[in-house]
Amino acid sequence: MIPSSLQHRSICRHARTLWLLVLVVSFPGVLHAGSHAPEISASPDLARAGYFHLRWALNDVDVDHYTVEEAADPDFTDPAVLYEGADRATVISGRSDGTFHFRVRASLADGSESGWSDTQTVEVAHHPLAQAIGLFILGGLVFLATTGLIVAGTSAGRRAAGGA
Amino acid sequence: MRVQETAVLDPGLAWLLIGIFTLIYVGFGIWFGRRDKELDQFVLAGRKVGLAVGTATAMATWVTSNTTMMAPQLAYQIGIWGMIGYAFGSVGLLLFAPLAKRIRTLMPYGYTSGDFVRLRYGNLGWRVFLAISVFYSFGWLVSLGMAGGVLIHALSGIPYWQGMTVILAACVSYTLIGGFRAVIGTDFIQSILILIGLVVLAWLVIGGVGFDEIHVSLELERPELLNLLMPAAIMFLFNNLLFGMGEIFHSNVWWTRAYSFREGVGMWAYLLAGIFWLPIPIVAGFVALAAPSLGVNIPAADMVGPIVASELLGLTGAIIVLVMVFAALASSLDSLLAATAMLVVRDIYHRHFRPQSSAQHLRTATKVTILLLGVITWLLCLPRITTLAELLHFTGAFVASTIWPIAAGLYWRRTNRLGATAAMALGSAAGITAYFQIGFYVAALVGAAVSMVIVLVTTWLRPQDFDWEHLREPPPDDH
Repeated sequence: MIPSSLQHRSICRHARTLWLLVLVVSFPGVLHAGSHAPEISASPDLARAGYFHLRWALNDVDVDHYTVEEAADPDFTDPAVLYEGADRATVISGRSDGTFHFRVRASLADGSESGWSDTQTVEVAHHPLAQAIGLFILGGLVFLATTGLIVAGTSAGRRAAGGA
Repeated sequence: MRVQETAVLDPGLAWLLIGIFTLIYVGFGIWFGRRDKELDQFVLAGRKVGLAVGTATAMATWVTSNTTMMAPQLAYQIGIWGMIGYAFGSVGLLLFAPLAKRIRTLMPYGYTSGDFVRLRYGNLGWRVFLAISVFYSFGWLVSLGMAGGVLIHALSGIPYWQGMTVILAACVSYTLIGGFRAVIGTDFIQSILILIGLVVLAWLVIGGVGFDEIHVSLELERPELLNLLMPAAIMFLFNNLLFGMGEIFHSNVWWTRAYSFREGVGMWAYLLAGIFWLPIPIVAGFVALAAPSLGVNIPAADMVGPIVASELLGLTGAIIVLVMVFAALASSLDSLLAATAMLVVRDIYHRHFRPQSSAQHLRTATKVTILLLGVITWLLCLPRITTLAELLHFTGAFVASTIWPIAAGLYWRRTNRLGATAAMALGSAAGITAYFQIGFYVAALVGAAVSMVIVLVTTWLRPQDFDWEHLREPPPDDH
């Protein structure tokens, strides 16, 4: 037989659990710290010119600042802080070929911290140099031909005007 | 989406500055346009623009959001070649100088670039050209409106749509009131503001950070920005040069100036404007390279110029940038509004729907069109769909495909209408394919190359014998 005081405590515990459940279902925002993580995305995730745009956000809660980390491996064994502040995006440029991993965490206004976001991976793979030089030469030829057309046309116009 | 949380300028101060300069520009609009009652005066300033004002209007119009905000963006994204490649945009002005002289000689009564294409290549080529030109004009108008919103948001935190709305409204107002004379008059004042602002800014940046610190920081954090063999940057060099040439050769903005300059002025005005413009993107782009050494976050690439300036120079920098970029934006927006309205009225409304319209009726139609263009641009700017560079370079494929049809059409009798039309259509298609397959930094290059080959081959295979006198079409009746 369970003593009445224990029975009372058990009922109170269940009532509290039920109340918390009702609260969480009714107001999901109360369950934030630790379990609610920001979302992060990259555009493009295959960067052919060495630059890309990272965006992140944690909605429905009051965020004080974000911490964005970068690592060379997806497990973040040796992460480096890329950005710390209230902005929700950054442009990364001038990267050489390689694979880069990013994640973000929010520090909330009440002092608690969110969990880490999923990892966003970006691959930087520059265009082949031969292709670039080929197009550079093509551009040069179009430019020289256009200049030649204009210079020759102007000279011919002058000669014609002089002759007239 | 709002992505930046920090701003240097107090929103109240930003509104005050915007208000003051809006009043100044609208006031000049009323003053300059007070006597322009006839069509030629309203749309071409009576065809009597002199060298000093001509040079200033060409330079100020070419200094735009593209230069003051996109040059830093491209320097930040693709490095040294980004800003030098941007400076190659001056080649378009330099090469248009002899073209301007030729246009004035061949078409003393011309109004638009569309007039030339219609008379030279017939209706089909003209309509393809109009589609390209109107599409480009909207691309440029939207990029300018967006730049206004981005700038004001970056500096003061004022919501993007509010800043964009005010800048558009200011430019529409004085263009509407004062016509082309107001456009070139304000351009003169705006070009002086831009030059002073840039010189002060560059001086303060070099003094505040220093070359060595910028170089070391880039080498450590963003090495590819210093790499002279960065593939995307190499491709961008001639792409940007050809894009600039395509913009200038085809756009009515530059043709109206060629028609409006006094005889003998056009060539020198464009040459001088090209020389004065050359260093501006390099100075503007250099500002962006200081960002890594300052440790400042750049939430969107097109915000890098204003953010670095205000971060480094605080309130003074923010005010200089606001005044300077507002001037740059306004000087281009007004020109583009006036020239596009003229193209729409003259080539679409008048030629297609109301061929019997009097000059007075066309003047009123031009005013209504300026207003409509402002409203449509505002609607297109509201959803900030892309960055400035991506938006503008998308139009690069189209405009670069007009370089050869225009240049060959002005100098060669033998270039035929079918070849020119095919060159514009197929060049655009090839450029757009390259845009999606490779990147924005090759769209204009591929478009121009394909167009050139088509013009050369068709001129050689089916030569025409065009009579230049055919271009001397009389102006519309002035009653």
